[in-house]
Amino acid sequence: MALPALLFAAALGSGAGGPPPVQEPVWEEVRPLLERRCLPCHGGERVKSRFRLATATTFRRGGARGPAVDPGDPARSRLLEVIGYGNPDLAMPPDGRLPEAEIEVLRRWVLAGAPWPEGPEGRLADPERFPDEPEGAGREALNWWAWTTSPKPELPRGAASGAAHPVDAFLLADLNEAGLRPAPRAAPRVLLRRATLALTGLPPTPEETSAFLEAVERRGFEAAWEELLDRLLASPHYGEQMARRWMDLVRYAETNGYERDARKTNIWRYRDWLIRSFEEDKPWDRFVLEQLAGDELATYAPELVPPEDPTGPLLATGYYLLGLWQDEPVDVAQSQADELADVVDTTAQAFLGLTLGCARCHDHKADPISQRDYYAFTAWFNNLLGYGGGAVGQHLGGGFTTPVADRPRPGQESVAERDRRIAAVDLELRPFLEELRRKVPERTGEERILVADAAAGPALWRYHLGEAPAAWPAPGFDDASWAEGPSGFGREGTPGSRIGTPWTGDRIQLRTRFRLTSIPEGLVLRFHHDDDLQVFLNGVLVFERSGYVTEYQEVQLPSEAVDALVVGSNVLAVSCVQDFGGQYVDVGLRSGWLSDASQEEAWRIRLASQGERFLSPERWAEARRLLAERRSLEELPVAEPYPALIAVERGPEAPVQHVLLRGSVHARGEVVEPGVPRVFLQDGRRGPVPPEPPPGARSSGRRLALARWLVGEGRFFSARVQANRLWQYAFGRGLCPTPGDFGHLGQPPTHPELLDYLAWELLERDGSLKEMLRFLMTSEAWMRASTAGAETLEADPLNRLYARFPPRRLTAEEYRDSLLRTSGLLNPARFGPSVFPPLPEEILTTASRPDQAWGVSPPEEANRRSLYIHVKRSLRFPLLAALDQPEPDLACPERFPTNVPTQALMTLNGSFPWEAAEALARRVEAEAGDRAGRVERAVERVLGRPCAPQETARHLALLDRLEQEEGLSPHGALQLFCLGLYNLNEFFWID
Amino acid sequence: MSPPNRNFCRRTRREALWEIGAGFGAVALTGMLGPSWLRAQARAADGRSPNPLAGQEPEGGGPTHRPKARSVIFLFMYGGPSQVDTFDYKPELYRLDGKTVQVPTFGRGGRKPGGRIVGPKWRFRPYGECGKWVSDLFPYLGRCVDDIAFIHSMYAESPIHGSALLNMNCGRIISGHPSLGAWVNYGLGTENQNLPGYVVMLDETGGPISGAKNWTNGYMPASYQGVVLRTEGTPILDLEPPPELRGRRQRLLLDHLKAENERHAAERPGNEELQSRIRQFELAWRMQSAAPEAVDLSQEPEAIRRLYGLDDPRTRNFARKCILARRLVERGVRFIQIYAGGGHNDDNWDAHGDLVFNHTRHAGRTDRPIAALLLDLKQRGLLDETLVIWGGEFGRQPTAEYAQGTGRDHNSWGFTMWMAGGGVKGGVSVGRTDELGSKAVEDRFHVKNLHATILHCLGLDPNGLSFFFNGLDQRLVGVEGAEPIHQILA
Repeated sequence: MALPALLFAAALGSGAGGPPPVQEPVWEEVRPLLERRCLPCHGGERVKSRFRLATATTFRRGGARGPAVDPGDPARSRLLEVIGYGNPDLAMPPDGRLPEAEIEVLRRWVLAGAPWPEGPEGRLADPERFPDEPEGAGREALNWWAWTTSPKPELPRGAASGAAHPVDAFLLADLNEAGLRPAPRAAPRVLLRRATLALTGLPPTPEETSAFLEAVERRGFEAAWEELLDRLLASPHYGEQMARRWMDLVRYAETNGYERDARKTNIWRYRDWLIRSFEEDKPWDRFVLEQLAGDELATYAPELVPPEDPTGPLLATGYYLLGLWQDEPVDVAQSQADELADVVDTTAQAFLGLTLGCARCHDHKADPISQRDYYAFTAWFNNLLGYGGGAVGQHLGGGFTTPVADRPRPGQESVAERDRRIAAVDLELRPFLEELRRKVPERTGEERILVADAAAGPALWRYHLGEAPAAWPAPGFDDASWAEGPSGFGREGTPGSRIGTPWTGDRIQLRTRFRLTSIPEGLVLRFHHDDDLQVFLNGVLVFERSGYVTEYQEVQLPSEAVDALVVGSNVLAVSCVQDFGGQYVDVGLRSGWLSDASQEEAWRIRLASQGERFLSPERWAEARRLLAERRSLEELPVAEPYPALIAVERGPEAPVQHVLLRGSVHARGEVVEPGVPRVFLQDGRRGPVPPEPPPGARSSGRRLALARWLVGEGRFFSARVQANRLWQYAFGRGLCPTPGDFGHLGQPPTHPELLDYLAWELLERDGSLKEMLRFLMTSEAWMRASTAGAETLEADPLNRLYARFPPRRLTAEEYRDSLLRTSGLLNPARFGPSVFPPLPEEILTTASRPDQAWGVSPPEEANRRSLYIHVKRSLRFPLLAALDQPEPDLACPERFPTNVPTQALMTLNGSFPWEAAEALARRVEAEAGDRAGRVERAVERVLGRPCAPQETARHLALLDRLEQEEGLSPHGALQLFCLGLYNLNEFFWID
Repeated sequence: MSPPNRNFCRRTRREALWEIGAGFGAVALTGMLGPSWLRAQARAADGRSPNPLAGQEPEGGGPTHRPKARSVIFLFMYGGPSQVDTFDYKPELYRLDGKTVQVPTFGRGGRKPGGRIVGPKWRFRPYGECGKWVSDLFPYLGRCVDDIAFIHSMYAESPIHGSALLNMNCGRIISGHPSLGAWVNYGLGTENQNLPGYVVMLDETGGPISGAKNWTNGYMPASYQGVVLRTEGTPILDLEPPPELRGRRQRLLLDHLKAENERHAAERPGNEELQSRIRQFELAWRMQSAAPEAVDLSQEPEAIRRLYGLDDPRTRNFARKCILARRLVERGVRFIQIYAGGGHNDDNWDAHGDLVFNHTRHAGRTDRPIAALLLDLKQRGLLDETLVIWGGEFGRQPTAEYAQGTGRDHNSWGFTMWMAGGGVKGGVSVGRTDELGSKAVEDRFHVKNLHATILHCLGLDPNGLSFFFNGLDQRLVGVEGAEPIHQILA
């Protein structure tokens, strides 16, 4: 074999020749290198890894990983290691290896002990560019509104004190100071549309509009308004609207992203949990606890498990499985760390309003949050098993699932409740079984083997391998072509088997016949199977078992089996499906009864069959009642467990958490204990403490400790973040306009006192989001008109003071759902697996596997609300994506509304608006007889207001031209007009 | 164009952005973002962060550089062409064909200590004044080498398609970050509002792995997403109205809309977004004619059609895209990406099985059209302001993937890309892989350096162009920054 030259060279380079002699280092050569190559990141402004090169002193001190030069053994110095690029995670400078000549200069210098002159001569660069700042953020940075708490602010005094509503009192104080007059209250009709869209994401129907206006007329605005808010907050669509908002924040998606972009198994169950939680107005603290630690409640706080919905908190922890997941990472450990970081960043943003992410690689640039803080916060979550259950691989694309039952629906029981009630009936039945056992003779004399098993026989069976033919268990099925063999089918070595006929395939069907001259009362089945077994008598399925057994067992067949028998020839048919490992199937059948007292099931069957004969009529009547009750309990609809993605930890002990330098798992720094960022621990506030796991615990309890802190000691912080979001939902933007970043890089709140006040209100209202929204929406500020005079616009163009209501555009989902609702196409069904409205071919071909890119839903399913549309990371629903539904890879606390021509193309030319326009045209054609009536009705439906006469005339003029000049049919012209309505700014915008 | 305003202290970043926008296309920028977005995004001024609109002086005080390129055409050789069979000439390798050598590799099949060498399957010959050795896969491109800068020492972070594509397109192997085209449009705005500023043309066989993630806007506003342009049928999704709505009917409806929207807006002063949306309908109307005009090749003379290979069934599809790319550049489109290869396996450059079959197919489809594109751009004087980039998400290994056959596994440790046109020198080759072409050993360049080079050529400062998200000034080249490849800069 010929080795290429470079391999020899490499071998030589790796030390075989020994180090060259050390030459005298020249500080004049070293200094410019340090300044040019190292100082930009290790200087005054940026001090990465806490390593500062400014002077000899700071250099000697070293950084987070200790001194850069080891005086005892300079050759092993960290500085040489990092510039040598041996470890890619500690390679310096990060943007590329230094030229050899420069490395050599530094190497010589380090080997000589890195002599660095003290004093001005050894001071790098000019002090102006690299001032010698104290390390870390100072006291000033800590004294920031977002990390301080306040008692509930007093309402402002003065002119504003006349305001009836606290929100108005705060806002008016600033408006008065600015000399601005607030806009008057908007018209009831405007407020109805505003409120309906804010709380349900759908526009009001004409019926709702007239009902509301009538109520205003009859009972006055205030009463009608209260009633309206009651109705909207109780609407089934309220939960949907709130859930969609939360989904932005937790980057909800139903696939993993990357190459396979596999579907997350039943992740929609988390979405359904959200909808139900908002609908039921789950208090904020419960909402936090269940998402972050719902799986830990049963072990660490059983009193917090809701009895009516014991599995809800488990489903809530689907929260942890929503993110990106790489099934084929280049670096498995790093990829798992990225997954964890994704959870940490999202949690900090959603619950603390903190952009913690930038402290992953270095101390936060602007906020006093250190890398230590970051990893201390990570430690709360580092015991999570992760999406793949601790592993990676393409076969794990669906995620590591756990069977979890839904909350029982009305008329449905939980499995536990059903079993409890059956056990109660069984207790009552037991005396009857005792009595029967005492009264029936030991042997009834009717015991007879009908079909022998392999040990007693064997019997001869007809058998067929592979997929079962149609109707094969039926008595009339012709099995003449099947092979014949003695019983005991399977593979040698299967425990408890007695092979009569070898069988190695994956499926087998067996048939045999037996004759009866009279019908027995009881039937006992003797069986052995590996794996899944089904037994039929004359075509009736009488017994079924999955899995396998290792020895023969007996079971009393239910009365249906006896009912299936006939005098004369009977067919016993058996099928077995092999999975892997052992393989065997055999059954035997005899008449009679199992007499073992422990076989309660057998005795109950016997009671049903023979009770009448052996019990007194009264006792029999009672027994029959109990048996019937038991039967109905068995058939009770129950919520069965099925796969869900929920939080799972590795065990009770969480792993040690290191600081990871530059965020790399391969560069471990010091060990940190779980904690919350120190900015939250001022004024003597204490952080959460991890609990001692009780015996048998399956998780560390850390997440619950953190969650309890978030709604306990730290409740004000999380409540303020949520109060700000509620304001954002009501007014379109937060009081703090950067709801995901309360830090120094965000914008400070326009009304800090009001924000604090609202946080307290939320806490005092027991975390009721509905009550808070009602509170906000009953303020005058919320009811103001959205227009203002020139003076106000001039003085406050950005409407920071809320002299008017901030108008907003419909969101992507609101736009689509409004089309569905107004056109009558909306399918209001809620919950369940996501749907796949049809996508144009142009979109499907952008996928690397166009045929597998998207699913198919029946047409009526396709018209479900937008939050039920499948969220696929690599193939976003074009209409929603174009209208600014955010990418689901990263948390999105606020959407970016954009305004581009491609949106107009979609809303004007797209097939969906066109179909909605068609449906709307048909709808109004059915509702009104003449053109003017149809136009007016369409305006009412789409815009929620009556059509003014001169407006009707303008619309009719359009219809005239379309019909007369363009030759369109009246229906065609009307459809075009309807499409126009859907493109009006008035429809797109909420006043 | 007025010089960018670099002093934006004491103003919010977004306000600064807004004002700077006025310098070179305020309508474009504000149209794309909308005033309320700018408002919502306004951040406290920190006075330190670099101007996102670049032309930015590096910290050492160097001169502001003038942009060389105005547009980018990225010819994405999806699947990963083999460097040693294309442009990275390794004479040693022929001799080693079939021999087993110790050379560490890392591909989809994991890490291997060595393997059987597959010698290059094509002859190389020198071309041009620079004497560049090019394989017989590219007889046409060979003649363009004096206009091309080859980078032989590229390396990427992943040898797996999905993450490597993200790496090449978005700078990171983690999903969620904006793509190069989004950054370019964010940095420069658009020159032609009647066409999208960021256009992607896919292969007939399908999109690349991860589909739209490769032209995503990431955390940026949706307006920065790449628009897929189809070369047959309707070029842009929903560009064509339903039949009932075409022509004058649509105009009647638009006029009606406009009149109603104007009435609506008149009662709502202070909301600029309403006017902006009225304009979008007019732009959409113009796009309906501008886009089909841009993709209408019937105006191209016969000589051009022949030059690109539109007459040859083998090259027709890719030729069409290359002509389109030139037409789009002429019409001011900022960033155009064309995928050579789509879907999976041999539908792209992913030669795991039969190297000769695969590369003959894909080079055969693209060589002539790409050479024609360079030539055509040059003869129209457009090459100086258009940056053409050629390459895949990684390269391939010198060794065989399987016991038999010529298939090569992925290789992100060393591969070749080339650039031509605005801002780069011609006839140069930089960086070097080892004698086997297995990994970059000299002047190694990370994907970030490539991205930095592209931004630099467009007059943007790669380490200055930033977008504030999630508490960070996010950059295409990452927070740690990266230098352009100075050796190839003109």
